[in-house]
Formats: sequence, structure tokens, C-alpha cells
Amino acid sequence: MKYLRQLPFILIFTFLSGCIAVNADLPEIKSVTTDKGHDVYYIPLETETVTIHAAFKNDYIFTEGANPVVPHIGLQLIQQAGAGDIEPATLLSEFEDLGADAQLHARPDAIHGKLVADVADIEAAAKLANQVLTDSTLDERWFRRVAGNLVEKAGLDRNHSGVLGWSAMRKLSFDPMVARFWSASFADTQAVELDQVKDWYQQSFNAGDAIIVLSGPKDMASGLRAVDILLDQLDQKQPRAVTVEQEPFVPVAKTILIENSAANDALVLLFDHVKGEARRREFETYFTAYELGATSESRLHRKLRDELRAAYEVFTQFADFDRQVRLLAMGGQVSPDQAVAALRLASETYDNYREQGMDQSGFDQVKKVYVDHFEDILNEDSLPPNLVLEALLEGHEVEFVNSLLPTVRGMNLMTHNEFSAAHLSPSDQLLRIIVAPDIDAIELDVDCRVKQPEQLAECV
Amino acid sequence: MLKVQLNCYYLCYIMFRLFLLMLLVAQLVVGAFAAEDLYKPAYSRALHGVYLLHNPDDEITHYYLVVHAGEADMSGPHGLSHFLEHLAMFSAAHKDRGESTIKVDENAFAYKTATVFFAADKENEGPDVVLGRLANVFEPIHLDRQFMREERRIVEREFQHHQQRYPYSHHSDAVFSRLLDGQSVGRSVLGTQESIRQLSIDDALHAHQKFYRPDNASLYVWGDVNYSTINKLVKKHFSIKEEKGDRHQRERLALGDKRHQDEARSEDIFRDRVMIKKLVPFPAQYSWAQKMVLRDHLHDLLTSNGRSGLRQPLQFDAFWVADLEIELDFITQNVLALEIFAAPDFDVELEQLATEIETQLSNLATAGVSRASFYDLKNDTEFFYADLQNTPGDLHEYVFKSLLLGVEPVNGRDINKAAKGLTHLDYDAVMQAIAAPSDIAIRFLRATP
Repeated sequence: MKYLRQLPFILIFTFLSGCIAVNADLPEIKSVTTDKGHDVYYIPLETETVTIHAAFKNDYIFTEGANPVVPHIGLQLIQQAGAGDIEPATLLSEFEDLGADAQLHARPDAIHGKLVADVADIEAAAKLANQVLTDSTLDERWFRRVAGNLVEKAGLDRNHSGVLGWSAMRKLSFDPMVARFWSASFADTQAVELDQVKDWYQQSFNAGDAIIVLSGPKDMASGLRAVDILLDQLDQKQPRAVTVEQEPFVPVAKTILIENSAANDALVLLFDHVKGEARRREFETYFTAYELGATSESRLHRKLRDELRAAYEVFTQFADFDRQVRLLAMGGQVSPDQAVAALRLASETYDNYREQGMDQSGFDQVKKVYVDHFEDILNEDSLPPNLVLEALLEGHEVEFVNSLLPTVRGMNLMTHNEFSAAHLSPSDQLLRIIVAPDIDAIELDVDCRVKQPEQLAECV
Repeated sequence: MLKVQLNCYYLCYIMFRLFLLMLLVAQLVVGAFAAEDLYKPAYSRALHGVYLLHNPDDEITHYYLVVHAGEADMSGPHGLSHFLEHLAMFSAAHKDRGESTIKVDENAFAYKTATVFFAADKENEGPDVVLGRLANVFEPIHLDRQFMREERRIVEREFQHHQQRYPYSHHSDAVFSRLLDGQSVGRSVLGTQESIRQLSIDDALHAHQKFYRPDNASLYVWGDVNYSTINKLVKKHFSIKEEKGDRHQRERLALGDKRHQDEARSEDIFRDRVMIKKLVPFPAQYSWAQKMVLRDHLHDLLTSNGRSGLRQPLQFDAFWVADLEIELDFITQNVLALEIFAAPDFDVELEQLATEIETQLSNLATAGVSRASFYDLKNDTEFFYADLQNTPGDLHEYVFKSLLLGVEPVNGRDINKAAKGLTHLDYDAVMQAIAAPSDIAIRFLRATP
């Protein structure tokens, strides 16, 4: 009898829970074939905007004679030069007139593209984009202009401690071509010739290797037609055979000093390789990065800023370079006379976290940040196509995106702390780098001191 | 007789209560209508202004305490307002070497004309706690001297950090300072390494005593705000405890048509560039709402890839520039700063490029804003402005910009009204002002091979 009185409330609660559960479902991801035979994934939404994400598989940097900076210059060139009979200025202003957003960027294994426009304009925007991909003028003067701008950037980067530190990390532990791709050095950038860009263009954007994910209105007709227009003639592109085998990533555990006489401050960097089980549980490393350095209340910030009074700000980052290399990166810019103390304190703080883990309130706070983030982007009205694309590139099925939010919600303090103790490397097994204006003035037991870039090779 | 009199008093009392109730209902109704727009309660006596922007979609409430004093109000070595901002924030948060006891994301920023103390209440500490801490900004700074000296070194770290990220920034500051020709708005917020090392703790404390006072500051709250709570808490936390005399008045910017030109060689840079900065007096006939709309649209026109911009003649139709950055923004309520930073294309000399940029600016003014461009802009932004009063995220940008410049913020409806009322003649008038002779500074930056 007592329970019967509660029945209406239980029924209401059950009904509301049911509503919430239904509302929490993500939009369906449909596997569709376009009229011209392209297989795509389509996410129907209540929207009038079509967003097409494409990943064109690209192994250019592993082909004979490749300069790994070519994709960076090539992509900028085709976005600024004309295409077909369209003049450069007209191409850009036509995209502007359509209110379309078109972007391209390169990663070592693929070129990623994004095209966004209203459903009424997406086919016209796709036609323009198709001309960029199939018929760029690759004009000599525009090439010189684009290359000149990137050479200027690479020239300035030679004085940048962050660029020097991260480049050294890549050079020591990445495949050489992948390291050169990400670092885009002054020498490589200056050496790029237009013929190399033309060669790269010929073998890039092959439709056969493309993965396409798009979102748009529930009536899929315009979006699918836009895909056919976008990929028109791209099956004629000819990717060249890979001739260079990618070397496996070998994490380096060393302490290195690098001299940057152009800087006034020192930069302290620590890198841990995310490997094995940690690759399958990457959210744990995201939590670690947040707790260690994301806010002014984070552990490294409190230690280096508030306690040691050495840094203006610190950073931590989950660095996702390619399918093979993922790193937890930490660091901060400090006064040179405090660099050694900052490295020591950062290492101790990291070790303390690894051994002791988080407390419940800290864990709950970090978890809330990620749950809120995923609830914000993954709900019944939203499912970003690039998340699906990344899941596919990682080798998952599209349904993998459905597991993201439950995975974060299911994380708990005990397993996280166990994970940290078991899978974060001790600080003496990290790659630790100090970039400073005068490394002779730094008294520290190190594996090598680099005064000239070529000396870095001796550190391996 | 007494009974009648009592009844009369009672009736008056009831009517008075009814009147209060009606007032309350009226306030609630007005509040409800204003809920999606900027709300300016009239009750703050201590603060210069209180502004509330209701954003029901935001789970986190953001609080901005804007002190209407920035680097332009300081004297001595440049960077003092920034150093003071650091000291005031640490002192207010009672956070010296210890751990903060509450989880509020706090930060502060120094600008030329204001210093902003910001808190995002991510952990729902509540407005009482957050406003209490923000109000501490006005309390005397209680940090020890050693801590303050260390903080000056951290300000130096911040400068170095900025230098590494933006290698041209000290040139930009120098050109701006030259353009303003000794006027206070030309002072550099970040300063230089040398000026930071010369900053005096006593000067900072003196500036705090002089400028950090509730009646020289505005509170702006953005989020899912409870109006009556904020009202009560403003009364609780912000009061004038000490008579400091009249509010500080900044000198009005003096404008002319001076031309400054210089040259700098640097090993830090890789190739030659030209930096042009120009002060543009805004035509006087426009309201602040109109000015903000005109600035937005003319910035879009100048930077666009279309016919109304500078890119077409300099970058697309001809090979003058390889890289071009253009900025147009207010430095005071009545003055715009146009900033152009350009690398010449091949075979173009810096001097030629500077001349060509000025010529093209002049051409834009002569040609005027085309009807087509004007109507495109109008059509493209019509919905944006019409919906501004219901889009707190967009309106926030305008409110914040106004407060930084010490201008009374305008609500969304008035900005929409201003946008609707402007014609292409207004756009022409401002474009002509941009191209007309006025103070200009040009620096030729030459790379040392």
C-alpha cells in the first residue's frame, strides 16, 4: 500500500527518465552511396547548413625525393592561387559571396578538408572547391609569394625557444620525415621548388582513398550531390608508391640543454610518451594534462608560479601528432637563473601526481569539464562530422563516437589513480629539455648540451 | 474618531504596500522584457555603473570589474598599470604563496584605458563569494615587498613570453607611441624589459590609491543572473569607504595631421616590412551605437577580398604586397586607429609600398562605398543586429568593448536601430575620414642580413 501511493511519482519519474534517455541519443550516422558511387557517412540534423569533412589519404612525404614542407606550401598555394579560368581574387570573393567556409590542412598521413555552406549554396561551393583540387593554376608568382611568407615564418622560428625545444623532441624520437614535416625548418622551406609542388598536386586528393563524412539537413539530396561535385575527376589523381618506410617512434629518455642566444628567458619542457594501454585510455591522459596544468589552480601552475615564483604561465598538452605518436607535454617559460629549480620542481610535481593521484574533488572537477564538453558537442542536435572522421582514421567503426560520452561518464577516481601509477613514466624516464640563452651558465647533470643544431644528432 | 483615523492610516498603509507591490511587479515585468538584453539598474550609488546581461544558456556566470584606469592614466616607466593589475589581483584573492581556497577562475587584464578583473564562477561558489573577492580589489594592497618584487620579475616573464610569440610587437608599440607624440594613450601596456625593471612598487601603490575606487569602476555581470541578488550584493560589497575627491578625468586626445616616418634595422626579423598606423577622428555626428556598427562594417570592407577592400588593388590585381594585415579599431570613443602591416612582394621597395597603400586608401575614399557592397553588408548583417537583443554572446562583445573605452554600453535594440538607420552616405563619410589627412606614423623595418 505504501508503495502504491508512490506509484504515480515512480511512473512520472520513469516517463521523464525515458524522455531524457531518448533525448540523449545521438543523431544517426547513415552509410550512403552517392549517385556517382562514392561511399560517405551522412549525419542528418535539424539544420540548413551542410558541413563536409574529407580526409584524402596522402603518403607523399614517404615517396622518392619528397620535401616534407611541400604539402604546407602546396595547400596554401592552391587556396590563394586561381583555379581553371577563375582569377585568384575572384575565387576567394566567390567563396565569400556564397558565405562558404573552405579549409585545408595537412597531416603526415592525410590532407584534411572542410567545406561549410548553406544547403542552397553547398553545390556551388563544392564546384569551386573541386576546381581548387583539380585545376589549380599553381601560378609561379603566387608560389613565390606563399613560399616567401612561410620562409619568413621559418626564419623567425629559428629564434623561438618553443620551436627549438619541440623540434629537438621530434628530431630525437620521430621518424625523420615526420619530424621534418612537423618542424618545417628554414632550410626545408627555402628549398621547396614549384615543380615539387606541382608533383605533389598531381598525386594528392585521390577520390578513391578519400573518407567523407558530412552533416546536413534530413533531406540528403543537396549534400550528396555536393559530394559528387566535390570529388568530380579526382579519381584521375595518381598517388605514387611509397618508397620510404616510416621508422617506428622510439621514445627518448634524456635531459638536454639547448642554447638559444636570441632569447632572454629559459624554456623548460617535459615529454612523456603515451603508449600501450594508455593509447586505449587516452581520456586518462587528458585528465592528467588538465589537472597538472590547465588552469591557474593546476598543480604545475601553483608550484612554478605561486611557490617558486619563476613562471608567468605553464602549459600541459596532450599532443596528438599522428597515428603513432601521442605525448603528454608539460612546461613553462622561466627566468634562466631559475631553470634548474623549475625543472626539478616540475619533475617532482609530476612524480607526486603519478604516485599519489588526484583526490575526489579534483577528479570530479576535471571530469565535469570533459563531461560538459562532450555533452555540449554530442547530443541529439549535434554530432560534429570531424569526430566521426577521426574515429574512422583511428581504425574504429563510426559507432565509436557513441561511446565517448559514456566512457568519460564512467571514469572513476580509483581506476584513474591506478592508471597514473601504472602508465605514466617516472620523471627520470621523460625527455626533459631546457632551452636557454646561455647553457654554460646552467649547472645540471645532463645527457648532452646543444650549442649548434647539428650537435643534436649526438644526443641520440 | 480615533477608529476612523486608524482606519485611514491603515488604508494608507495598505495602499502604500500595494504601491510597493506594483513597483515590484513593474520591475519584474521590465526585468523580464529586459532579460534578453542589457539591463542597467539605476540603484548603484557606489559604483560608476552596473550592467547585467542575462544569458540563460550559460551555466557559468562571468563577472567583470572594470576599473576605468589603464596605462594611459599612469606616469613613469611604461607597464605600470600591468604591474599594478598583478598586485591588485593577488592581493584581492588573498593569494600570495598559498593555495586559493575557492574554485573561481580568476584573471585580470590591463588595457590602455581600463583594467579588468574577471571571475568565472565555474564551481557555483555563488555571487556573494565572487563579488566579495572582486570588491577586495579596492582594499589596500597587503602583499609583502619581497612578493611584489618577485611579481615584477613575473611581469618581465610575461613580457618575454609575449616577445617570443609576437616578435614585431615592440616595433608596433614604438610606432604607436610615436604616433601619439607623447600623449598618454600612446603608452605601452606591456612596456619593455628595461621599463619593467624600473617600475617602482611605491608608484604602483600610489596609483592603486588614486585610481582603484568603486566610483571609478563598473561592474558587468554576464550569465544566468538573478537581478535582485546582484542588486543586494552590490550594496553589500561596493561602497565608498573613503572620500577621494572627484573622479579622475583623462585628457582629451589632441589630433592633427602630423606625419612621422622612421626606419629600424633589426636582427630579429627576417625580411623587410612596413608598419603604418593612422589616427582617424570619427565624424562627430554619430552616436556610439552607430559608431560601433560603422566600425564593424568598415573593418569588414577594408579587410575583405572584394572590390571595396585594400587586398584587391594591393594583393590580387597587382603584386604589391606578399603579406598584408589590416586592423581598424577604437582607441578612444571618438578616435579610430588604422593599422597596416605589410611585407612587399618581389621587386617592390618599402617606400613604394607605403606610397601605394596610401594611394589605394585615398582611392577607396574617392570611389566611396559602392551601393552593392553597402546592401550586401546590410543584408548579411540584418539578422545579426535584429537578433542582437536575444543573443547575449554577440551583445557581450559590444558591452565589453564599450566598458574598456569608458563608454556607456548600449543595449541590443539600440544597436539594431542604429544599424537600420545608416545609409551608404554614412559609410562614405567614415571611409573619407579614414583616408583624409590625419596623424600618421610609418616605420620601415629592414632586416639585417
